[in-house]
Amino acid sequence: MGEIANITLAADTAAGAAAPTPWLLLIPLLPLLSAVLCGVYRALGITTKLPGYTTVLLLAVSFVVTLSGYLSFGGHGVQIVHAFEWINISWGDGPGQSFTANFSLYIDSLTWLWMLFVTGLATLIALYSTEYMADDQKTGAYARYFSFFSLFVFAMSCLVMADNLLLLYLGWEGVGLCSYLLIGYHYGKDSAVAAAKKAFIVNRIGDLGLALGIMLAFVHFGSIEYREIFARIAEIQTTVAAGGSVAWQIEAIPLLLMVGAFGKSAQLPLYVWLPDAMEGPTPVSALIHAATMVTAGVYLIARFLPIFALNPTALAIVAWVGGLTALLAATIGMAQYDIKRVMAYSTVSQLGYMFLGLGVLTAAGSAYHVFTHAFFKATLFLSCGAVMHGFAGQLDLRRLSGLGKIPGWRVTTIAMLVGCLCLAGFPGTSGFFSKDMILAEAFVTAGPGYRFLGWMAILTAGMTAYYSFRVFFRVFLGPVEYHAGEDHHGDDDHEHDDGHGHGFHPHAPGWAINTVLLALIVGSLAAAAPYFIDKEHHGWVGGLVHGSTAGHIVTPGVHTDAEHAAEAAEHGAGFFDDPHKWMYFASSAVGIVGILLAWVIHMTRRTSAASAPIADALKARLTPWSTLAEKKWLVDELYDALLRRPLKLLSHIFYLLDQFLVDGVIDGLGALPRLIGRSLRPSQNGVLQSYAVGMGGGLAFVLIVVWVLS
Amino acid sequence: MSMILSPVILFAGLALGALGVAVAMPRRGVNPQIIGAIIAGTAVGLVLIALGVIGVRSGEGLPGVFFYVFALTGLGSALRVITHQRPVYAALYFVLTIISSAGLFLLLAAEFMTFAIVIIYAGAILITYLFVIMLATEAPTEETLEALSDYDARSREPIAATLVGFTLLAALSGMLAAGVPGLGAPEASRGPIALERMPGKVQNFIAALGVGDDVMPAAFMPADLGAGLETAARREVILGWNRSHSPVVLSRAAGEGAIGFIQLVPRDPDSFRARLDAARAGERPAGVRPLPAALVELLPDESTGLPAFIDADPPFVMIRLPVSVAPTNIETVGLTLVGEHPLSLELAGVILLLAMVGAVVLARKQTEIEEARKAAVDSRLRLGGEGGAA
Amino acid sequence: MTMHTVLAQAELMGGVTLFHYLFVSATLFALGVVGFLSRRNLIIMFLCTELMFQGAGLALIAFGRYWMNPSGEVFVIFVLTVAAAEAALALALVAYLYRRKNTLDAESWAELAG
Repeated sequence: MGEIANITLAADTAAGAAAPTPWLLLIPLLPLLSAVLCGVYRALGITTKLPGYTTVLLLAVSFVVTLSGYLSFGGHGVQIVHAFEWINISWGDGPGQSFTANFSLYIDSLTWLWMLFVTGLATLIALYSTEYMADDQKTGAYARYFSFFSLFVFAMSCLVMADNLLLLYLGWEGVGLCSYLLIGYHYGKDSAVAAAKKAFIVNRIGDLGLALGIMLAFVHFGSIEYREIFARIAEIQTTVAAGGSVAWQIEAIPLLLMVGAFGKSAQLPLYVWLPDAMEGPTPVSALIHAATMVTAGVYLIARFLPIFALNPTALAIVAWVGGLTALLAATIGMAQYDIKRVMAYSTVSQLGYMFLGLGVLTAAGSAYHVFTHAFFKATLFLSCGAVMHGFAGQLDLRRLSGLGKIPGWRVTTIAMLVGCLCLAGFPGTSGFFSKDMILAEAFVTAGPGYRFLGWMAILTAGMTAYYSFRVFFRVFLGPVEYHAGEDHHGDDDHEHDDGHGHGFHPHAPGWAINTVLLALIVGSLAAAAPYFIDKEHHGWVGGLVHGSTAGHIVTPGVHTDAEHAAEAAEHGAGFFDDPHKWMYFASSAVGIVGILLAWVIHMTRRTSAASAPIADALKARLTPWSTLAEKKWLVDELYDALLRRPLKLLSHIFYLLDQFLVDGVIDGLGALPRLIGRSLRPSQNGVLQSYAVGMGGGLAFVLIVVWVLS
Repeated sequence: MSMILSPVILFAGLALGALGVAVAMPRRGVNPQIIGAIIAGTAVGLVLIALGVIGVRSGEGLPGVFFYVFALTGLGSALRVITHQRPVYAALYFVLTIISSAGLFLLLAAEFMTFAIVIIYAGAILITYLFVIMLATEAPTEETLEALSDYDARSREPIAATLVGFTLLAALSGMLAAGVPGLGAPEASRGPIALERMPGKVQNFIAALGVGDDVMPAAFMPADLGAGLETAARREVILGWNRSHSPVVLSRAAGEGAIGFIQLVPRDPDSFRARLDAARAGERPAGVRPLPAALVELLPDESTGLPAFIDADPPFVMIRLPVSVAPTNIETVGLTLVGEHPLSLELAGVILLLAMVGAVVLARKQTEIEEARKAAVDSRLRLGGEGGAA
Repeated sequence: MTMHTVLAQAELMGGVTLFHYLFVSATLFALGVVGFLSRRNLIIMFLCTELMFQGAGLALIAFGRYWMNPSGEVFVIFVLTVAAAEAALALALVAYLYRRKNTLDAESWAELAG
């Protein structure tokens, strides 16, 4: 439990007043510039690859700025870079009687971690996109794509670097908007439009929770600026450490923030939008719906882990939701045939791991898993994208086989293999180390059913290994066979015949895709290295987390110094007493078993792409469970029946009420003055003297009344 | 509710008057205007006679004949103003009304206003009316000499109009006859008038007395001021204004030839009493400057019936102001107008100027229309001429 | 003895009270109202408003005399001013309207009819 430190937040934030470094503002502003430029290109009707290269260049500069910023950063403490005063209202001098939200960056080690992989991956994926999206150059959609892409990076930077909750919310909604726009990139396609709307609407539910959480935080902390909030939290931590209790409002804040995180990071019950979000272009899936945006929820909880730690119930909910999501998504992933969908469910599943990690208070493990997952999942998605690009949108693993033997697909195959190994948690890969940290911690931390959760997560790890290698074995090994997908139109820049099947020649990836894939292979493998740096804090990422606000948590009633020491001693005890040690072996074993199972089921006696006799037999044996899993446990149908249909019915009822009751009353009220007016109209005959009669008579009447009353 | 006049007589008279006016309003066909006028005149006369009886009964002698003459003339001619079918005659009857009310103003000692309304109304405004009547009436031809336009010959809903007008009158006069509590003016409005507001000749009179070393003038008190001494009793019937209700104590004390008093305040109140006594006794104590003989003569004693104000604290004396130096009505009005309402006076001037400008603008518009019409006629003629030539 | 005093005494001797004057003034006003409401000639309608002014003026002067306050008379001067201004404008308007419709009938101007 290295994360639990006794340094208070307030002391740390006070010490972290570093020299102002306004050039760090370039990190969010360069992507914004890129977005604007691409918008201008779109308006100018540029059909070259200029938008793509502009985006790559500016994002690369942004990444370099981030990197140099990180290198010049001392390690601990906080930098606040003030850009401009955005909102500043005050209605009194007392505490909580002013509302300040500046456009300022709050930069500590957690921010650096996120910004490094966000800008780095964004640059690589933008480079990949320059080739991947080339088909859209002529229509001008190319510039639109890169404009949204850059805007996303800007919004994500705002989200991660915000120094107040309002700016975070702006970024949060900004990434949601970009996600919506990019899922609906092919807006001519009904399924894309529906998926975009689904993503947006499901996220509304989560965002409502986040908005309420922010309001409650303002009401209770008197500010939405991180500095103030963490100072107040430090005070509360002091009282809690002294045995005091926590106000229920403080306990409600994490519950509300959590809802936002669940929505954005696709956790139960709001995960349904993410698999559908794969309707967007694959690079978008890789960047937004796998590597960066969906980790915003993890970031939010990690950033405010001190508040969550004050409420053990919230932590338990986070852990359980994460564990259950991981298991559910893995079961669905095992039965899908669309390889991109398998990846989507694996993303949901891995995000579940991250939430589990947060729930069991290993922010370091979660953040490390976010970091490694960003690399290997981007690798996997971009490999899928390469396949999709090359085979005209074909993604069905029953219609592709033996790609590894086709010349020109070597890099893609290796990338896929590396990605799958990492995902499966093969010993020695980055995914192995990051997953182990979370799994082990589930057995260390005390909590309701955490041990059971741990076993469940180990089972999920085995399933992950199985479904990831199922894809690899089916698509990249075995007999060579492929069928073009629906997007194959025999375009003139593709030198192959039109038509399906034998006349089709796959379109091997070009230099940009291969370069990016190579870079990501290196990245995925190298992501294991940080585990061995800074071992004291559970690796380099752990160090970064430890140095940030997430490193200073106090949970009510536990973790006194004595207990901490006892726990540390326990780590060094017998082999089975330290989960961190036996977990290496347990997860290795489970991962390898999963891979072998996939080999046995999907590689033995294979004759064609569509046939894997053992798999088919097994599927038939497991009916109806296999069918149910393939149909995603009918969750969408359940939501449809439980929520959408009743709501639609309700809206019809309200429509009728509005039409007849409300409109009737309003129309009746409207008719009344008209009636009165019609009856009084003759009195307004326009003749001066008839008005004067009214005046004189009225005066006489008033006089008589006064006289009688006096 | 005690009324100055029996309500039966008042309301019966008003009802009768209303009937008369309604009958007298111009209408086509049967024209009982004369009958109506007689009924209305009888009714008003009834009320006024009833009012006059009050005066007789209270032992005040004959009623003021001039008042009744002017009132009846004014009301009668007003009736003709609203009933006469020919606008020119209506305007002339209005002149008669003006002159009658000018007579009433004179009875009220408002000489300035008497002449002002005769000059302004009868002289200026009515001339304007006559001009417009002539402008806005078709020039009579042989056939139409006796013809009346419809809007002059026939009045519009005379019964409703009379009903409204006389209901208003009944309410007003009923309230006035009963006296409405709270209508009374504040005490201060009847208080002494500051000397600064008196004409210069009054101040000259005081200066000529040569008593400035011993006393200084404080205020002017009109002879009628005594009415204010009994305001509590008067307020019950504040509108009753006859002798029995207004004992003019000071006025009686002042006797003939005095219109009021000047209040003099001793400069040295402490020694004043002793010096006065000494002066009356003919003594001349050493070391004390004697009061001037003129002052001693001026001072009232018990025989004049004046209250001994000397005993008041601080003591003051009252001296009579002779009629020769009394401010006339015109002087009073002038002083009030310029001294108290200068801003309103200026504003009235501005309003008149603006009215003149407005009238000029309106008149100009008329000429423009005329010119436009003339131009149209001209062009038609010219076209016709050309057509004829071709 | 000035006219002032003579007349003041004459009133008192005649048994004429403030009410006498106010009654005459109210009756003048009411006759003006009746005329204004029932006569259709625009010029006579304005003449009737002058009648009402007269009634009001008489009341003001009577009250002024009763309270020995010259402000009543001064007020009548202002009323007179307004009446003069009103007469000038109103008569100009009457002439203007007459040119437009060639009639003085008040009922012919009913553009505001609802």
